[in-house]
Amino acid sequence: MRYVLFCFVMCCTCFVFSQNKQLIYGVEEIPQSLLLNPGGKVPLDQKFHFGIPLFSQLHINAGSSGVTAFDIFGESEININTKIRNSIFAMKNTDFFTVTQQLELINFGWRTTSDFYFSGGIYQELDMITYFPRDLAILAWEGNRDYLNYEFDLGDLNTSGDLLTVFHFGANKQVSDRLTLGARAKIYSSMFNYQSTNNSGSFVTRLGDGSNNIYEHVLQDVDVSVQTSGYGSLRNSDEVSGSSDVIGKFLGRAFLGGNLGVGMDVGATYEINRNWSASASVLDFGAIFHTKDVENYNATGDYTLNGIELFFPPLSEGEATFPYYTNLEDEITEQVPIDTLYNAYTAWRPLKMNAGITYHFGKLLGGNECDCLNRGGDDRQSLGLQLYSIFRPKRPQYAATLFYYRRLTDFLSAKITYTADAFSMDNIGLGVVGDFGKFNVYLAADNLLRYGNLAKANSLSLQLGFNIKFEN
Amino acid sequence: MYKYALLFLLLSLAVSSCIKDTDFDQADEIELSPVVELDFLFFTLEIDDFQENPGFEGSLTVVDTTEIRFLDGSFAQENLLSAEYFFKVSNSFPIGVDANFNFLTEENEPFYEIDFLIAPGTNNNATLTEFIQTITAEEIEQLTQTNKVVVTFTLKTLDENLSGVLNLQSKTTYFLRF
Repeated sequence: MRYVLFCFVMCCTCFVFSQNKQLIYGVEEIPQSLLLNPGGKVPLDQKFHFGIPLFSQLHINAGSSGVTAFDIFGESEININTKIRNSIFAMKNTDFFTVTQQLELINFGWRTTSDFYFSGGIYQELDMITYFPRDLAILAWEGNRDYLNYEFDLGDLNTSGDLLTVFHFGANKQVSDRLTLGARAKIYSSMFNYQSTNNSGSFVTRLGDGSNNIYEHVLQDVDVSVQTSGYGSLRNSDEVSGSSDVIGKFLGRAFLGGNLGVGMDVGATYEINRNWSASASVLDFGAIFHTKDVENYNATGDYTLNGIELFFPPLSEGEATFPYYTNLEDEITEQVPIDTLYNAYTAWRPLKMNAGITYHFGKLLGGNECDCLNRGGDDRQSLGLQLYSIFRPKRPQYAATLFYYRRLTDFLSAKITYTADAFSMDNIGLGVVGDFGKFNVYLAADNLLRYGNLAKANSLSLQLGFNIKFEN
Repeated sequence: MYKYALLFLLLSLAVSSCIKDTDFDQADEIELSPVVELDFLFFTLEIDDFQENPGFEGSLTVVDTTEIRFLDGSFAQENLLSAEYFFKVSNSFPIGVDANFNFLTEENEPFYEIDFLIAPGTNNNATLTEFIQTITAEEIEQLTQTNKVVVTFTLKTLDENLSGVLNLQSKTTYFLRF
């Protein structure tokens, strides 16, 4: 059990990620910025690009809004169990742990003669979120003895996760001098999904009224469910006998063999004037329809446990008494049955929204005035504000970013960000993108202030990729 | 030149990032030690419930048995550190009652026993008896070999017209560690 707890704590404290890519948003030198805003600006001289397969984008992002690895495993005189207990009580049931990982398999794009920039590709994504189940953690850690009359909220169980492949294709066009629009269609191929997000009910131990036993252990208004797809068949030993079978199954599902869904991204960039521009995008407006390999579990009902009442029936020699314990078990499973269901369900993708406003300035290397609408300048700079939100099961998460971007040379750009979000208020990030001939490379990481000791970070994000770009 | 410095800085950060001042070996010390209280048995007895039974000459007795299946399960055997049984008995019989809880294995072998006397009622009023049996860490191995309990209550009389009511309520406190 403690190993399970250890893994949970480690996952919660070390590998928690969100999906905000504030360092890439709006950086037009990076082709993958179109995945964050399909209506983003594409350099006019960019004719064609393709990502180095499997290396065009690796994104890892993890975050914990309530606790860090250092809070638990930091060297100190305080016993680790005391630290865990303190963390359990310090955290709220709205604190969360998230993990997001994306690996781009293919990415490509080209400009047509009619100045559309089409782009498409395939990427794999893992996205998980677990809200801290505070009441259940207290019950597991402390037991119920010191919590008479306290209603442990079963609704604290709130978690979901997706492992999927996304096939996408989008179009981008500067429709006027000022406005660029874009849209992207997506097909989702789910490998594995689970969600348990709309739970309710409570467990309470209270003093009895004297008519039965000392306590009443009450499960009230219980409605707890877990929906899964891609899980049931993994337990079927006829179909899966080893890790190679599991990998084979996942690969089959990854390439349109899994549960499918559709979605779309839309975005726009508007040049307000010579210096100001605004942009916005909505990503992953879509859903996956889980119809295959679905297995759902649902427990509902009310039950009050008073212990076992003995009746002392008069028995003849060899006659058995009542099967009290079996009757008790039957009564519980009757009152709070756990049903296994195989009905299809729909899982909405976590909708993401980006918005930004940017002030462009700077001058050409030769010292001439900057033509800020001409993105070919060598010393373009900009300052701006970006907002990000992602819809999660309990409530949306928000982030606000201030950034400074500078085109350092005609082949190197950098962006530095300050982000405030649910994880921390002092997240400094840095991204660098270089165009070395046709070879495009970018590297971006945030929470740099924590790089001296990652254990103290509430969240970390890393993006890395390599592309080939052809210009006119 | 500064652009190379910037790139160098970023790569340095990525390479030099570390986790320090932490000791993940502390994970070996993680222990959950919840204290769980759970209702145990309850019942009400009147004189009609008692009868003469072989082996209890000169007394009226009631006997019943119930399984407590989780006691000899692997979870209890591995994680139960100690336990405490609490009995609260209200008795208006004018004589004392002997309470006996005999915990048996699957093969009906007795491994643990709780025995206590219940005070007699006075002037038709019920007397309250409370009894706590602590099962220490040394004794817990015996309890977790069992999966049923035989409950025997004995009135030291053969008077079947004795009036009174005996009500028992009980709970168990499980001290777990895992």
